[in-house]
Amino acid sequence: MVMGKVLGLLILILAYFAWFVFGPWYDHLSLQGIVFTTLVVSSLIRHGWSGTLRSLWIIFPFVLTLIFFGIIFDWFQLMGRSDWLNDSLVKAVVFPNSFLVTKLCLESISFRDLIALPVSQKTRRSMIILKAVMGKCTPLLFRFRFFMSLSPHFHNQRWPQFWRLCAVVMALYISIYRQAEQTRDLYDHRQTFLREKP
Amino acid sequence: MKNMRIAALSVVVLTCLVTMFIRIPLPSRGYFNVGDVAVVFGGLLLGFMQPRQGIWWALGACGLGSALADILGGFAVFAPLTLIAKAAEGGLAAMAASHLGAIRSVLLFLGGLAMVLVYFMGEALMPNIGLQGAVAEIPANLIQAAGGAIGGYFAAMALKKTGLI
Repeated sequence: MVMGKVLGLLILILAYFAWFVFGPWYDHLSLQGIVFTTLVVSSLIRHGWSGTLRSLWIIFPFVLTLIFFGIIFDWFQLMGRSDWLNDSLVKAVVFPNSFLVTKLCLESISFRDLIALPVSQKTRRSMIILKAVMGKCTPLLFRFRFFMSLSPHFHNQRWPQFWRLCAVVMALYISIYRQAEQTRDLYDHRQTFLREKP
Repeated sequence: MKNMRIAALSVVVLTCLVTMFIRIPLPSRGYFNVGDVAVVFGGLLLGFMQPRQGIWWALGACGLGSALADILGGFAVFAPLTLIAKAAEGGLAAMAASHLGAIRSVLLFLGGLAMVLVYFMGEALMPNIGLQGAVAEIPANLIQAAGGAIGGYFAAMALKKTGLI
């Protein structure tokens, strides 16, 4: 049952990439738009407005840079091509779709599903810790970037954004490590002491 | 913070998150990202923790984290290439951790160069990118590699000074 669900989700992801990213429907903006609308509605049902807006906010800067660079490349006809803007507009829809499809499908794999998968105990433990840590630490990146931008420490240095990024990487690693340790200890504790009711 | 397995898992998550969320598109349909800072940082970190085994951990963690970022971010076609390129960069960074001075700098330089070469060769063979696209990406990849080596080195040395690893 669980294997069927996991395989089904993987086939869904592969089918999406086969048809809408590498396949015949990549250039169809209208189809991509319909897929985008469907995915946003699915996300709204699953995560509500705040969760969906948070997901879209994550990919919004990259979509903006895609369009921005598409305009610039098109203006200069880089590499002799004049279809940069059209290509960027397609990518501006395909990228959020790819992100949302993968995110929604992988999020559908719950911790119970991971527990029921026919893998070794060590592998199961690593998968559960990875899933838990990814979920908890994704917002930390943005939080650390925000708080580092408030710090006056980097203001007088050359290339302050670069050094700020290095500090964020360091802070994020420490947080991820601590979170992974806590999750591992919690998992081990539950494995050791919790039993199913007879 | 001295558990190798947890450190490697943390490096996977770190490289994935940093690579995914700061990106600029390139003409050849790839993208410029600052994940190399996390890759070099992770490689040096794992090398500091265990000078010999750390290289293998770094190969796996740095490659896997970056490839995961490609898959989750919708650039799955680059994932196999990224796995090899970033694994090489992270592995050489881990090797650099055991050395000092000029040798460390040379190994970090070789790590960046390996990443650029792997991407160049792989993209030149891709039909939708070709030699033109691969050459167009070289300057951006060189900047990525240089920035990653410098940033990753300073971040790793700062963490080492804290005594946490």
